[in-house]
Amino acid sequence: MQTIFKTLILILTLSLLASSAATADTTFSKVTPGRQFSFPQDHLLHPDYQNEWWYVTTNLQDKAGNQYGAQFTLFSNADLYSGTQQRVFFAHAALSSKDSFYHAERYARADMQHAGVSADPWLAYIDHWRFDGSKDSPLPGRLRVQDPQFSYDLTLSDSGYYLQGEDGFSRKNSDGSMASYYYSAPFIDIRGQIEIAGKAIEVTGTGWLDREWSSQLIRFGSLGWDWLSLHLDEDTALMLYRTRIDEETYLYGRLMYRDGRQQPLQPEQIKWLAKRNKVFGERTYPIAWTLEIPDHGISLNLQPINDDQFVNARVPYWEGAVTGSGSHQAQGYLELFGERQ
Amino acid sequence: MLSRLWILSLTLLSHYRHHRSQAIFLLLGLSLGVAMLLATLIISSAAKTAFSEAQQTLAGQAVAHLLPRNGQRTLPEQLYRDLRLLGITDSLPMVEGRLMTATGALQIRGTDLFPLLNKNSDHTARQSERLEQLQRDLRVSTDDVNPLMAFSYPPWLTVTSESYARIQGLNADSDSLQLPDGTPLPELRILKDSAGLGYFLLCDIRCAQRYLNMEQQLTSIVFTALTETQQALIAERFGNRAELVMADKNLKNPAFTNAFLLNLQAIGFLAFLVGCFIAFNAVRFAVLQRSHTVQQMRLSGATAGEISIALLLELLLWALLASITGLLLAWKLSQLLLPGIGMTLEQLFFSDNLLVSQTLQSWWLQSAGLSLLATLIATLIPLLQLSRQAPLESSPAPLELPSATQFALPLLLAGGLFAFVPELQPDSHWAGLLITTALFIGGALLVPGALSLCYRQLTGIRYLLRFPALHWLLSEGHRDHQRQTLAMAALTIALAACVAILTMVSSFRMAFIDYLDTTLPESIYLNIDPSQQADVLPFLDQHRDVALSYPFLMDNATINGKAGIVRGLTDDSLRQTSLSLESYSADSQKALWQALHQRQGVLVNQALALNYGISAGETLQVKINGAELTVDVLGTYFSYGSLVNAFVMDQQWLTELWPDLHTRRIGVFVKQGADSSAVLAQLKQQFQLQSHHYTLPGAVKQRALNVFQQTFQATQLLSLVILIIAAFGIFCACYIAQLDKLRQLALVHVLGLSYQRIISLSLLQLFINAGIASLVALPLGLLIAWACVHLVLKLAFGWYFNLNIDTARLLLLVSGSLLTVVAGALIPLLISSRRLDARSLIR
Amino acid sequence: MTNRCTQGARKLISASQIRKTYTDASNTITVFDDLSFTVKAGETIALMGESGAGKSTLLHLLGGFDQPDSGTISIDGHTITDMKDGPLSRFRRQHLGMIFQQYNLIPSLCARDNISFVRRLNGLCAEDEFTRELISVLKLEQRLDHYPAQLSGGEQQRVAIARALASRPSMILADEPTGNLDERTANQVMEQLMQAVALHNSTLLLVTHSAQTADYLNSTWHLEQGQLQC
Repeated sequence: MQTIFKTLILILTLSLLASSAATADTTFSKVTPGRQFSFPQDHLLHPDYQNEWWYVTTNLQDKAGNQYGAQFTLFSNADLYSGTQQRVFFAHAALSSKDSFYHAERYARADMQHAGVSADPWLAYIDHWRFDGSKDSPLPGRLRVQDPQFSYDLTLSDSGYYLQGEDGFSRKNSDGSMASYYYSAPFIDIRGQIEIAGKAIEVTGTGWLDREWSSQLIRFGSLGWDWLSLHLDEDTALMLYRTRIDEETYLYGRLMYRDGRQQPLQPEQIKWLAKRNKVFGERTYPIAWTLEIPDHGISLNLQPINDDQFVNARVPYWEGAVTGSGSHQAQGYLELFGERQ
Repeated sequence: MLSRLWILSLTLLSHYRHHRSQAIFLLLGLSLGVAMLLATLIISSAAKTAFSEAQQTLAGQAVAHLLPRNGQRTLPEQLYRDLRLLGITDSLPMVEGRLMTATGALQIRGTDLFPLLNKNSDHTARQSERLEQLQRDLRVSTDDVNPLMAFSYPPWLTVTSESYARIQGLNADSDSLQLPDGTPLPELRILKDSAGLGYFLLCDIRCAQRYLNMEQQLTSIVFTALTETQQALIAERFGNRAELVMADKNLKNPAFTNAFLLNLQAIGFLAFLVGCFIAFNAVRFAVLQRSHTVQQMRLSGATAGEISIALLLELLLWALLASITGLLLAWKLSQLLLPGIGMTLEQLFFSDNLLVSQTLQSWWLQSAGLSLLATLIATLIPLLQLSRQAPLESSPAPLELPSATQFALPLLLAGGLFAFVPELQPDSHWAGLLITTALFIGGALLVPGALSLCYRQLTGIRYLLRFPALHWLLSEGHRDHQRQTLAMAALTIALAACVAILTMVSSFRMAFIDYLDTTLPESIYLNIDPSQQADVLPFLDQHRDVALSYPFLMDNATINGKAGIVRGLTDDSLRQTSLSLESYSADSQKALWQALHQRQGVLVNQALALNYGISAGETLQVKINGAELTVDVLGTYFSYGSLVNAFVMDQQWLTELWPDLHTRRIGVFVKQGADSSAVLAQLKQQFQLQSHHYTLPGAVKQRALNVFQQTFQATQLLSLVILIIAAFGIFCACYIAQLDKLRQLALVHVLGLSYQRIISLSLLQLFINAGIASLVALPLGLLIAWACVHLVLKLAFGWYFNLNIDTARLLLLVSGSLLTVVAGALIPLLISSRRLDARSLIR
Repeated sequence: MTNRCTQGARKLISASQIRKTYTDASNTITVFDDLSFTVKAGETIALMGESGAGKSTLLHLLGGFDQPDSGTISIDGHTITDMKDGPLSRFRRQHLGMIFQQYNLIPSLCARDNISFVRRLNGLCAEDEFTRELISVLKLEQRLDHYPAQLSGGEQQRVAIARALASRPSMILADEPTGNLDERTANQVMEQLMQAVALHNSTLLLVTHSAQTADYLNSTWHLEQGQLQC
């Protein structure tokens, strides 16, 4: 009975994200500046938009001071098919240590209802991977992922929410034709347990939740980005991203402070240079960087805790926990995706 | 020396340049024999590969199924979601059913393919390899639309295999797929058989639910991995709504398939022998005609060793040629038969793997080996004779072979003893094959003795002198019947095989029809919710045309610690007729029913009785709904190949033990003379029943019979092929015999017999020979049929049926075979009659 | 060329303008061209000639085993050149007896049955007075139940002679009947043959290379270059 599926995978294995590029998004809502964000509603799914995600990254340590990284992302992708909107959820989960890296992915179509986002209480789930929030928001919450080789059960504290870009309108190119609505919760305290290859480890650390949604964001072939989130210290967080769209490179940065202040950064303030590459598949990924933002006294040497944090998913990319040394003892997450000149 | 060998070889081979027919027959015989056996080996290999492939799917092997319980037809889809949320995610939802289209019924299966995209951390490397491999294997045209979306969302896409499309007469033109009301079905894509689809239409789950009227329902949930903890969790949380059936219940599937394939291989082996016979005849004649050449070679100084080597080279050449032609023929034959065989396996043995053969090249070695074996069998002895011919001998000395009858009798005795004396039967699945082989070969070896005896008796009748031509024929036949012995032995084997298969199939068919008639005696079957039954049952009870209506209660039970089924039987003669009891007189049946409904015991089915070695008077430990009981076995009823161990108890008793046991199935008996369609119409009107709420037995029986027909088509086709090969062997033997007897025939022509009379007499001789072979083949075939049914089936399948001898069809088969043989021999006789030349008498 | 040799009372055989050729690969060999002759009933004729002259061909034509390219052959009032196989076979067994150099007995029949074979084909009883006399003349009484493989060459040939004569044919064709026999046996066989032929006054046409054998017969024809010389 199962043999049918092994072969049908061929005809049916097609990048979901690739299809959305070919689909005209005329019936999906566009991202425009000036939107008024509204919570807790904006924690939920925005069905008028094509792509959306709930993205958690965590930097963890055990009692011995060993570094770990845990990541969970729930994606929602909608396509028009024969005039009807069809939505699919998929999730990535990963766990890194100095010596090991595990990742897994899961897929579910919305109408089968074994994935989704709901409120009261708030829940983002796909099968048994769950991000349980409180009544109507994800934080404080609990993140649970199980896989044959790894798992984590992490408790997330509350955090302030920070709108990225121009009051949440986050452009990815200069003319804003590619943009998303984007907010982050960077100051999450984590405690919990991870399990690697059958060994349970108590951990604590910091976490970061990113939320984005858009209908003009994902395009393949001429799209790539580098994204970095860093906890510079307990109260300071930095987020950078550099997009490469067609011929244009667009750099964005923002400092966020626990007390609620934010400081957008100009591209010319940021010197973010790749220092070391590694090849995975057919692509070269710059996994180590230097970062200098002299105006804010930031001079960091960023290294991954494990070079091999390559997520060999159906759409592959590199993403992993990094530490920074220099002006700060920083830790965070780096994501490298797509085309690179 | 090499040049001498070369010259000797070329000289010996040059014989075939002037006797092309001998070369053709020799090659054809070898090729046919090799092709038949190789074809069955290819088919067997494909079947085994299909089974082992199931071990290596991306999603894994189906280790368990979650099925509806309590007589329900479906599971709620929510159950699937609940399982996944609990972390039991190596699972897939399934919706299966038969869809009536404008052109016939199609088996459809729907599922959700998205979870197959999941990647666990430990499957990463393997999956990427598998995906790459699949991409290489499968070539499907895709358009701009994402195929996954096209499959999963309206207007959907359906997919099927080439073989199923061919069997169902489907093509990719979507206009051809419609419901009876004209509603088109989704676009169809036909994949190559190598994609591994079975005999059904695969579609998205929502598509299947819509067309089968099963919204938010599933027919099962398939698990590809399940830990013990998960099993326990399912039992605890969902045990009251669904039943988890582990795949090891299908343990018999490999046994079924092996038995079936063994049957095929046996047929192939017989054909192999027949092919060797043809070749043997041809090479014998070639030997005779080259004896003078060999004599000259020896007189010229060639040693026996050199001639042996030259003939050995000839042997290898034949083997090489036969391996090529045999392989090509085998390939074509297997391609022709694979869909039918695959369907047989799927329908009969519940395997849903389509058979795909490997590449042609991968079979070359086997082909070479088989053709070498065939060539050795066919040519070694005659060529050995030829090589050892002394210089001054003009013909090779005949080899002293022991009498065939000396071997025949011990083989028949051994086969008979093992077949009829149970105490001597070895406890092995191979026992049946050995017994039938011994009977086949023993019977075939009787033929020379039978021919000899017949001719001896006939030529002793002096009265026949009044008919000199006939007298000549018989005395000639007595003298040289050896020439046709091999061909007649081959005919005997082929005909016996056909008789055996025909008898078994017709007996099985009769038993199956009887079984359907007895087990489906009801007029109408209803499938309705228990809540609706509260209204329907009283309606039926009060209906003037309804003799009986009852809920059909059946569920899982434990029998002697193992899984089985319990069925309830209401105390009514109409229900009792649905069980066909083994070996009971009318009076004892009455007492038995009384005992059953007085709860003095239970009836067990054939499978249970044979698997557990249980008979009436013994006891069973059963567990029903948690209650453990020791019950007496009152008797056995026929179950005709049911895999499941089942027992029947009084229904009232069952409901007392299991008050919560519900069912959706209601059986309705309409009174004699009443119109069941009228009753059904009233039910439909009164209770708004849809088409999926009822089934008429006629439709069920017809479907079952159609499946039956299809499952045995391949076997019957193969047996006919053997007969054709044997007839061809007769053709060859006749041709060669005629050439051999040209001088003799020329003489009688000179003495005053016309061509026509000579041909008629030769045909008469052939008819006599074939008739004697048929007289041996007929009882032999029946004996083998009996042995197969009562031994092989019993040992391999655990059940049997009574043999029914369809005399008319058997006589038709034998007559048809004789006529075919005689008709086939007509051509060589006509050809040889043209060559009758009195000058040959003078040379 | 026409050759004509006539002896005896009634014409038994009449051959007129016989032409017979053989084609072998690219060659055409003319055996006879415009050959005519008659044979009277009761004649015993030795047919002699060099190898390849056409003696056996002439015998085949007279026996109906071969057809001339043109011309007619009549035997005892029957024009055999026009006959189909059925009537020809019937004619052959009723009017013709064949004796071969190779004996050509039916190996599966004993001597008695071989002798009576053609008689029985004609619907006659297996033995009559004439047959018994033949057997006596040919000294086969002690060998009747033996099979050909059990007989010597001379005995086999005598059986063949008996078979040829037993049905009292009007014509006997013999193709070197003593060719495989030693001189003494050959002489014995010829004597017995002539005695047997005399019993019924059959017409005998015998092909031979041996002048000694030819002496047993009334006349000798020589076949040379397609012409008969009496």
